[in-house]
Amino acid sequence: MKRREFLTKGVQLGVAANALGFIGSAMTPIQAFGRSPLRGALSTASTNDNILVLVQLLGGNDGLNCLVPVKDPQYTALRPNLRINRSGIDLKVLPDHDSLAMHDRMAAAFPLYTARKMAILQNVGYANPELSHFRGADIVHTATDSNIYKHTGWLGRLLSDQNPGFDPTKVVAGSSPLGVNLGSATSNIFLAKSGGMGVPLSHLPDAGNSAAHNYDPIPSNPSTAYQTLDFVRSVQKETEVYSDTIAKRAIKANRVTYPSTEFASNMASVAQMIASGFSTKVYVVTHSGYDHHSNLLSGQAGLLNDLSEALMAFQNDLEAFKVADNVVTMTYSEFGRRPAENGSGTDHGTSYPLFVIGTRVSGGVRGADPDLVNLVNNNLNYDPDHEFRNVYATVLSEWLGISDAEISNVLTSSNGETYSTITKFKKLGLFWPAGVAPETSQSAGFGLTLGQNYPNPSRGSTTIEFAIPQSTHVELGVWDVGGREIARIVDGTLAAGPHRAVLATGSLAEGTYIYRLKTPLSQITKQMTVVR
Amino acid sequence: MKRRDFLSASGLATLAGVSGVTGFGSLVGPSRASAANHSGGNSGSAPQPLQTLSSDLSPFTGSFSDTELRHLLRRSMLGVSFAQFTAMKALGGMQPVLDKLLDTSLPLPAKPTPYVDELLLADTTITDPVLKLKDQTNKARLEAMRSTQVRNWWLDLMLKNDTSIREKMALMWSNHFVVGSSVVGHAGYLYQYTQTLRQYALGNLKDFVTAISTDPAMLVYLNGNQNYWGQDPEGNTVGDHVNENFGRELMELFTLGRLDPITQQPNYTELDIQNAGQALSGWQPGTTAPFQGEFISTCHNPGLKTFLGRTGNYALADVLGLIFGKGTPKGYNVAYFVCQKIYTAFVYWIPNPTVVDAMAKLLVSSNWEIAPVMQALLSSAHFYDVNVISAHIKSPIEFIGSVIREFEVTYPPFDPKSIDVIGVDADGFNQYPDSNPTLTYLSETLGGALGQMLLNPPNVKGWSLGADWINEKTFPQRQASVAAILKYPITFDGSAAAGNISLAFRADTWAQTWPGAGTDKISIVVKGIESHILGIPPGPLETEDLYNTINALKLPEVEFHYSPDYGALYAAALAEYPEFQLI
Repeated sequence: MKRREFLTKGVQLGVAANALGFIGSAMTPIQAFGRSPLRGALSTASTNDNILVLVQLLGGNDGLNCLVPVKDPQYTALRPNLRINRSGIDLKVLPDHDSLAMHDRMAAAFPLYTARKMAILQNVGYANPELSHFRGADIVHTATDSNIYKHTGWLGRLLSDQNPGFDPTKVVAGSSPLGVNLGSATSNIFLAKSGGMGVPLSHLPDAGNSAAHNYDPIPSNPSTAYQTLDFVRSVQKETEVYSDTIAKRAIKANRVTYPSTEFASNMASVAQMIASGFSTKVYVVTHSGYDHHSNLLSGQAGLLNDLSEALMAFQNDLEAFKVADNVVTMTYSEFGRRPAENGSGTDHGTSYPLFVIGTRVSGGVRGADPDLVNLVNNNLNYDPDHEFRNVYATVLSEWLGISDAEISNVLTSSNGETYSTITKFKKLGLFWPAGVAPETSQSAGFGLTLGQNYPNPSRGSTTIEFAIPQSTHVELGVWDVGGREIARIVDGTLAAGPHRAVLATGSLAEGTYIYRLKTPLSQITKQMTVVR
Repeated sequence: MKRRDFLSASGLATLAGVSGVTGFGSLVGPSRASAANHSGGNSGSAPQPLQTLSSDLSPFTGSFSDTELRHLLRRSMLGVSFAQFTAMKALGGMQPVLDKLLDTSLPLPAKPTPYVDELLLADTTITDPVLKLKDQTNKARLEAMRSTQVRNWWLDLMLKNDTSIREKMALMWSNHFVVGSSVVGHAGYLYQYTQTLRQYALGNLKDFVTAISTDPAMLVYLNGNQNYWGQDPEGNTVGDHVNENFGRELMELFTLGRLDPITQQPNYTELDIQNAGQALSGWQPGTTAPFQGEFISTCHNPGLKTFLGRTGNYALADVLGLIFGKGTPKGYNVAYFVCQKIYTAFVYWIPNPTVVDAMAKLLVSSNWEIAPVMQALLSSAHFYDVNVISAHIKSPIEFIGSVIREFEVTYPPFDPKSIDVIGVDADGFNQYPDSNPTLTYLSETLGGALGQMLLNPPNVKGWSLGADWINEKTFPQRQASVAAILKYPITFDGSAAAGNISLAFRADTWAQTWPGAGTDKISIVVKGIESHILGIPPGPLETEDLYNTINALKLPEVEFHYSPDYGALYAAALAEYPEFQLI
C-alpha cells in the first residue's frame, strides 16, 4: 500500500498512527519461529546455541565495597569513612571464601553464589591502565592494548566474522538483530569494519510499525547530504524490519516479576527475546551511575541493590522459561576505583571483580584477593590470568564455541589491523564442559571442602586434599577445558573426614584443568595448571 | 550508494597526510564510532572528514543565495521560520547577516524569576530525623521543579530567538563544559551557569575556562565542592580530602583532550591528574546570588605540586596557565581540542583536521577570542561547500525547534510565576505544580525520549552528535513526536484537551503564510514549502506523494483550499521524511 492511500484512508477512518503498522505487517507472509533458529540466523560458524548477556556497570564500580575483603586490615585503613566491614552491616560472607563478603545490598544475588551459579574473577584489568571513563570504555570495548587505538569492537568483529556479507540495509523481514544494546549508553562494542552489528533498543519495539516508502533513489555520486539521507533511510528501514519481527513473533510474557527499575525492565526484555526464540547471540545491557567520586556509601548501595535484584529475577526467569542452560550473564566496567577513599567517595582506579552468572557456570571465587599493600600509582595491580582479554577469550571459546583461529581474529589481529600484542590467551575453565552435569545442590555443598592442589602449577604430580562431612560415595575427577574427562582419581565410598589424593600429570598436555569433588548431594570444582 | 559504503568512509578519500584517529584524539574518534549505532555514522574504519574543495578558512566568494542563507540560519539557530528567513534576506548579504548573528553587544537575557536568586539549603538546626528528611525532601523537590523551569526558560529563549547565534553557541558550550541538572540540584546555580555560557559564548576562551572552573554548578557537578585539603568548609580538620573528578575532566574533556593532536601522545599522566586535584582544592560554591565560586584558603593544599613537568605551589590559575601553555604555537593543544568541538556542532560531526587546525591557530592568534573564529568559519568557503550543506543531522533540540518554528506551532510562552506548594503526597511531602507544562513536555518528555534533555547530558562527555542521534531507538520517537505535534496535535487550536499541555498547529493558516498562497497553484506553494523545510528537495516520487497528501480530494488546483486535516497530514508527512532530519 502506498503512503498516500494510507493517508487518505487515515482521514476517512480516523485511525491513529499504529494502523500503519497493522496494514504494513499484514502484507508480509508470517513466518513461524521456534527455538531452533537460535542457530539458524547466525549463518555460518557459530558452533552452539549459547547466548551471552553482558551487563556494563557504567562509571566504574567500586570493587572493594562491592566484594569486600572483610579481614584485610589494609582495607580498613584505606577507608576510614567508607569501609563497610562494620558491626551492624549484614555483609554476605562467601561460605567457601570467608576473606570476602558481598555488599549487604547484594543480598538478592547472594543465592546465585551459594547455588554455585556465580563465578567471581578477582582483579580483572590490563597493563598500563587508562583511568579516563571514555578511553577506558573504548579499551574494554575495542579489546586493545592500552596504547592501541581502534574503532571496531570485539563483538562487532565476532559477529561480522560469523555473518559474512551481513548488510544492515538488507535485513529481511522476520530476522533478529545479531546483537542488541539496551540501556542509556551505547558504545562501539558492536562496531565492525563493515558497519554496526548491533541494534540499540530502548525496550522491545512496538510491533509492526512499518510502511512502504515511496522514496526517490539516491543519485549516483551523491553529495554528503544524500549520503546522510541514505543513512537515515536505512535506519528507518531496519527499525521497521525489526518491528515486523516483533509483530510476527509471539512474545512470551515474563514468568517472574521484575523490580520496577529501568535496568530490570531491560533485563526483562532480554529474557523475553531469548524465550521467544530470537536468534540474537549477544546482548549488552547498561546499568549506569557507578561513578561515585562522592556519596559512595548510599549511592553504590542503591545501585548494587537494583543490580542484584534484577540479575536474580533475570536468572529465575530464564530458569522458568527453561532456557537458562543456554545463557550466561557477565558484568564488566571500564575500570575499578581507587583503594584509598577521598573522604566521601573514591576516584578512578584500575582492576575490579567481575561476575559471571549462569547454570553452566562453574561457581566460586577465582584468583587471589586484592593486594592492598603493593599499589601502583596508588592503584591496584591486576591478575595476569584475569587480563580482560583472557576473560573474553574464555567466553568466546568455552561458552560460544568459537575456534582459536577465530578468537585470534577477534582479539589479536584481522583485516590488516592489530588489536593486541597478546597472541595466546589463557582460558579460565569458567564453564561446565558439555556432558558434565553442573552441580545442583545449594548450601549442602559447603559441607565438602576441596583444597587447592599443590604444587600448582603441577610438574609431574600434584596432591589434592579434600574432606567430606559424612561417609558417602565420592567422585574426584579431572577434565580438560574442552570438557573431556582426563582422569577419575577417586570413585567410591569414603569415610567422613579429610582425604588426600595424588594425580600424576606427567602425561598431560600443558594447560588448565578442572577438578571436581562430587557426592550425591553436592560438588565443588577448582582448577589447576599443568606445566612440563 | 549502499549504506555500508557510507558507513565505512562516507565514500570519500582521506585527506593526504592526515591519518584517521590522528586529530580526533579521544574526542570524536572512538566515541563517534561508539556512536550508538550499530548503524552509526561510521564503520570500524577511522571516521573520514568531509571532502570539500576548501579545507581551511579561505573566505567564501560565491554567490550568497537562498541556499547559503538558509544553511547559515539553520546552523545558527533552532529552525528557520519563513518570516525569519525573509527578514534576514532583507539585510542584503552574508556579512550583514553575520554581523547580526555574531553581535556580541547583545545584553544577557533578564532574570526569568526571582527564585533563581534563592538557594534552598537544608536546615541544620533540625535534629528530629523525620522532620529533617521532610525539610530536605521538600526543598529538593522545589529546587527540582525550579530547575525544570530554568530548562524551560532556556528552551523558550531558543525557540523565540530570531537573530543571534548566541543561544546555539551556549547550547554547544553546555555540551562541552557539561553539567547535569539532576546532579547540580539547584535552580539558581543552573541559571547562573546558563548565563556564564551566554556571557562567554563568543567571548574569551581563557576567561571562560576560568569562570567555568569556579562556577557553582560545575563545582557541584564534578565534586569540586568536595575537593578540600586540611580543613573542610566547616573548619574541621580532615587531612587529605582531595577529589580528582574535576581536575581529570578539566584536562580530558574541557581543555586539552587525552592526546596531543600532533604527537598522539597523552597530554598528561595520571600523576598530573592527582596533582591537579591537589592544586584545585579549596573552591566552594557561594550561597548568595549572584552565585560564584569562593576560594577558601584553609581548604586548599598550599604545598608543592608537580604538574605537566613543572613544580610549584600551584593553584587554579597556575594549572590553567600550564594547560593553556601546551603545544606549538603556545596553547595550540587547547585551541585544537576546543575547535574540534565547535566544528562538530556547526559543520559536520567528523572534524576536518586542516580546518580545525586553521581555526585553532586563529583562536590562539586572536588571544583566545572566540568571535573571530566563528566569523571566519561561518564565512569560509568550507562552510558553504556543497558537501557541508544539509550533511549534518538535526540534534533532538534542533529537531524540536524546527518542528515548532518552521510549522509555526504555538504554545504558551514561559510563565515566570513562582512555584507554590499545592498539597502533600501520601508520604507527607510537598507537591509543587508545573507552571509551564507545555514547555516541560517539549524539553523533558520529548527531549528525553529523543535523547537530548537540555542541561542534562548523559555523562560529563556530553552528547555525541550527528549520526549518533539517529538509531533504532530514537528514530521511531522522532516519528511519534511529529504525530503528536503536527498530525494529531496534543491540543488543537489551544484548547486544553490533553491535560494542560497546549501545542497548537493550525495547518490551514500555516499553509496560507507561504508565498503564492491563495493566488498561485498549490504545486508552486508546496514547492516553496518543501525547499525551505526539507534538507534536500524531494524528488518526483516524493513530490507526487506529498502533493496527493495535501490535495487528497483531488480538487482542481485553482479551487484548492487548505483544509486543516489534509494540511496536518501534509505537514506531518514532510516532517516524517528522512530529508527533514538533515540540517
